[in-house]
Amino acid sequence: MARQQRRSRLRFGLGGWGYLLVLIVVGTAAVYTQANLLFWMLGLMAGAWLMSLMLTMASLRHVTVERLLPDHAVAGDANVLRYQITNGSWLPIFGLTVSEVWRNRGRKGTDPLTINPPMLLARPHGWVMHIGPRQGIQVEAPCWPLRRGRLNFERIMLASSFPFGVVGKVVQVTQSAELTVYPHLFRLNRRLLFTLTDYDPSGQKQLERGGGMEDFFGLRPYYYGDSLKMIDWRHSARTGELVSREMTQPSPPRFMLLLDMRRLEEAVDQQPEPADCAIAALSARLSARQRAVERAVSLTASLVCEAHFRGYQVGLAAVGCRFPVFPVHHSLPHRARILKALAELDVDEAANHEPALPARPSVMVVPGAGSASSGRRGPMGAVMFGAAELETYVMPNEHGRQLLQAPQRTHTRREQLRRQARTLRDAPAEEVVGSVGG
Amino acid sequence: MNLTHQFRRLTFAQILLGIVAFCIAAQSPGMLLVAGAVAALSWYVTEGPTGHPLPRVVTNIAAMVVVTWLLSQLWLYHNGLLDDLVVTMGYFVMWLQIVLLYREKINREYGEILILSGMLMVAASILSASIVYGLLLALYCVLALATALLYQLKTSREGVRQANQQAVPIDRRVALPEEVAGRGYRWQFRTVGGVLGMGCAVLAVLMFVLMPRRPDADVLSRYQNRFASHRQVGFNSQVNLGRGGLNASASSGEVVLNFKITEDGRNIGGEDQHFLLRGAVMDRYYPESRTWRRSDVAVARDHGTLMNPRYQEVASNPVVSLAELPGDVPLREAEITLRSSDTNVLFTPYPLPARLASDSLERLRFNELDQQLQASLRGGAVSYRLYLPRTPLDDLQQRYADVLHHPAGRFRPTYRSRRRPRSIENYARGWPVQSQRVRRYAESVLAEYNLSRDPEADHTPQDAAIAGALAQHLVEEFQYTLDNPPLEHGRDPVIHFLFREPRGHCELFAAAHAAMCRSLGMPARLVTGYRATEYNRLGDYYVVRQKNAHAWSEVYLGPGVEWRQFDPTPSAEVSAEHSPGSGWFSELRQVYDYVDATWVAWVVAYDPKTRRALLDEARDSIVAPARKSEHWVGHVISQIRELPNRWQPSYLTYVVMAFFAVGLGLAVLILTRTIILRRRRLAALQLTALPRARRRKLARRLRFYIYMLELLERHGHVRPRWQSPQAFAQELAEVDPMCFDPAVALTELFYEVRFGYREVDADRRQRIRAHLRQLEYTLAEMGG
Repeated sequence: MARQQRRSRLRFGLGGWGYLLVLIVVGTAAVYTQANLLFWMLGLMAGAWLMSLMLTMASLRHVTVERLLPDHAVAGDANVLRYQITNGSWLPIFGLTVSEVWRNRGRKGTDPLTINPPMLLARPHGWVMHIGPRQGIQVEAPCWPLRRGRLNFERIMLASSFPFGVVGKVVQVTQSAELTVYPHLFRLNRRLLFTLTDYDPSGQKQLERGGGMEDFFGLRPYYYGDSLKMIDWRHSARTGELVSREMTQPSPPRFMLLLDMRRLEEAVDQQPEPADCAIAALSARLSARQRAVERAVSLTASLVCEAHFRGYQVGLAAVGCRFPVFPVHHSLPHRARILKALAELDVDEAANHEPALPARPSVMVVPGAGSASSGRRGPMGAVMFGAAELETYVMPNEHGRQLLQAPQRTHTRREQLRRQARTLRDAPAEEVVGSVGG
Repeated sequence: MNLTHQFRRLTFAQILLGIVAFCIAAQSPGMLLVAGAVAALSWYVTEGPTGHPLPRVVTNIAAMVVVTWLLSQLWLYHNGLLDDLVVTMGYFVMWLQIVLLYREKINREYGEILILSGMLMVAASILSASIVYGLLLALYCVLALATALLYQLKTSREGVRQANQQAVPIDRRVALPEEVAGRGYRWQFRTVGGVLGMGCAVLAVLMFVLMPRRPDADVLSRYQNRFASHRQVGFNSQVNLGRGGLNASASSGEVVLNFKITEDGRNIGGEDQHFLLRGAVMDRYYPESRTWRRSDVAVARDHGTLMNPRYQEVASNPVVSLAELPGDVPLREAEITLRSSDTNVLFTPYPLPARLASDSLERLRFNELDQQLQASLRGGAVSYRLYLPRTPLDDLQQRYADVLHHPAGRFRPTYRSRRRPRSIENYARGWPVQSQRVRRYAESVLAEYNLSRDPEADHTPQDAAIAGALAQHLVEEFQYTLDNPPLEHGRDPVIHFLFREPRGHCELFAAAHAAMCRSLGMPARLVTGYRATEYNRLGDYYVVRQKNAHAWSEVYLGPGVEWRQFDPTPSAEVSAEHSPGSGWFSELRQVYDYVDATWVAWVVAYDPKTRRALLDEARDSIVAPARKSEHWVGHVISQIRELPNRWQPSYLTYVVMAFFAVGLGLAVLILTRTIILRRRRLAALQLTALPRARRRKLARRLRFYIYMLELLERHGHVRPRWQSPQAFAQELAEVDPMCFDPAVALTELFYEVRFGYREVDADRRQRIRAHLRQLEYTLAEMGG
């Protein structure tokens, strides 16, 4: 970890100005009326201000903070950043706010709020009500990355304006860190993978091989070393030779994914409107090309995750961009490596990059329209998944579709009536009559 | 700590307290009932079991109504039809916050309500000077402190929620951050709040004391004049006998002044003694208007002097000699603090004052003829000291004249006296209405006492006895009532009182006495003032209320004796009327009066002079407390030094003290041990983070586990702090399962009670006893 730099300052916020205004009003009233009780009130208020200043200056003096990042985050999902805060002072801390700060805001490439497209809509904030003297506590701050990539952290800001919100103290601790944000992951339709296996080059949904311990697979001559338990004594007696039972072992489907980023410009026109995209806020800031790329990457990542979840072996390669080739394999680290590579995929780096594939691709993801729903095969005999049709692949009632749909605004009763009236007005005459008659 | 719920409760209590305080300050019990009930109902409506806030439309309409009412009141004020704008603004603020109470409230609304409540208290502070309001203000400040702390926590928490809400898509809702708190947060929150409150209070006291005030500030008069329109005053500087009776102030308990009289530093007041505080002196009766007033003769003798000019903080010469007295004349000192005077009359306990000292009076007027003291009041609590000769001096009148008419003296004739110099030959003489009849009546009265007087004689040696006999006659034969009998048209009230209806109030008695004395040729005049009877034992002073207003007469008994007071009103009836009452309520009222007087003197009426005196005293006590033996600090130090010499206890006293000291020491030891043991027990049970009530309950229930640990410790099995009870029990069981089986069972019971919230019922108690007994036995066996 880099050496922590610490900077603290006092902050006189809006509450402080409001308090000062009330103080001036009471002071004016006291001087004008010479009412001694008002002088008392003025004294109390001034005392409160002074005490607040003293307490604020004394607080957050010996506080240490450490950011505890998760292994990764997922775009479009709620992630949690944790902070271990230790109060080394003899004063308790109340109402402490923890947030992230980026030093050179506005410069390209550093601040996730201002880079284009942004990674975050707003800074993550955490809050803790109390940390006693010589106590440590963990604080959580929800973080909602908009898109995949690397989320860089620079500084942690601790702020507290206890006791009266008049004067606040802000401590900034420089602590650089990096978090990989995976692409949006959607729950894909279960049938999609089942149908996908029909197009496996081996021609079977699931290969069953002997040598396992599952179901009965067949009989074979006894080999030296076979377990005595596996000898089928009835057949052995009938044939006069030792016959062993062979059991099946599951052999999940294997497929190689190919992400084709070669014809991005053609796919741009096929992308749906931004309102239908994953997160409206992000979509609004993405160009059509970027949107097509993000959707294609998200679809690929979702396919990888779904395949891993179902136990399939999966490999990935990409054409049209610089991307490592992942051979077909099934393991959690394998999946993590693929997702990390997808998170860091940069389409603009090198075009027309065509790597040597370790296996023939069976599934192909393209940014434009695909052929999975129609059953057509792609150029290399692979099933084509089009990112433009992402909505059709995701689960209708689970997380996925909801993310894709634009957020619905709650209408008031008056607005509902207006909408109904507008519908009736815009509808053809017979429909109106029909609806009235109905 | 449920932050939101606690904040809502405290805010509601603070607002309700603010409303109560304002209504008390505005002296409006009706409004207190109505506004208090409406505000209290808001809790049930908005926070009750089925409660929900009123729609915004309704609250907006209500707010509009309140604003319209304010505009109408402002219009009335502009046209001079309304007296007090502060009260109106206070009512406006109060109803506005009541409307807000019924509204759906987020932080902004809560902030508005709290600011409005603070403004209401500002208005109330301008209006009120009473100690009741002072106590409410103190309570309000405590509540406001707690509310402000909680409000800050609440707003910061919701601010974080809002900041996080901006970071998520708009269709997602972010939950409020959890109230994560470390150990002992309740205690620490209270401690920090307490320290803050104390610090604020100390700084407030410093600021209150040190902050400069305007020297011409009318501090107390503002409070007095504000509600003057609906306040009844008992004292009058002129007496109108034509009215039916005394006004409603006859029963008003409002305190007018505090009065203390000393002689050689010794307080000579008491519960069994009363004083007549003379205020206005009227020497002429006007039959047409049936009033007693000061004649032009008297007014023409007024002389004035400047005491403490306005806009001058340091008094020029606060001591005024009215007469030059020989050095050996013993004096009485009367200290009077006027709290609600509507006139410019100063009250004196005896007719012949010799010296006056005050920091509060701007101008002083004195009349050698009627010895009436008047002043231009600066406002605030007017306090002055009078020095009066203990015995009447023969030539006091001449001494007055020497001082007042001395060309190089500080007194100057007033404007009116310069314009209209009059002869004083007929001063306070003659009775204008049916004088012959009155004289005959007076002579008939004197005949009963074997007395007689020549009306043409100036003074006779029997004048004192004659005036006394006439007063005694009135006391015995006439009836005292608060209402005057109805008068026939054209009939004089004094004549009616003497010859038709022998009943009436004190003014009629005094007027009748003066009339009879005058008809017999004796100069007599009517005096109004207060009868000081209510003695406050706590402060050693008299409390004089509006209802103590009284009238009596003064008769001139010749040179050397001068004017003497005669009170012809039946004293038993007057005493009963003015009686402060008895019993615990009276005692309570005395305490209240004392606290109220202290509050007014030191807080409400705090002025530049009090400030200067306080700072001087503070400087003296810091710089040289020991050198100045008269100072209280020095006095205390000297008392402590002299204690061994003064106090010579007996042997028995030493024994008692020794027992007492030993007992005290033992008690302190036991208490300390109990506290330490309790803390250790709580630490051993790891209950320190729980709320206090829960902690106590669990500590009581889990005593058996502590006993088990102590038992094991005695046999060398100590549980480390870091080890959980379960792990400790397992470790023991691994060492010797048979032996430590009861310990395992007891640990299970511990978990049931500690985390399962089970009660230690009879069955569990029996099991605990059995396990402990078995453990004791096994451990003893092992040891053996």
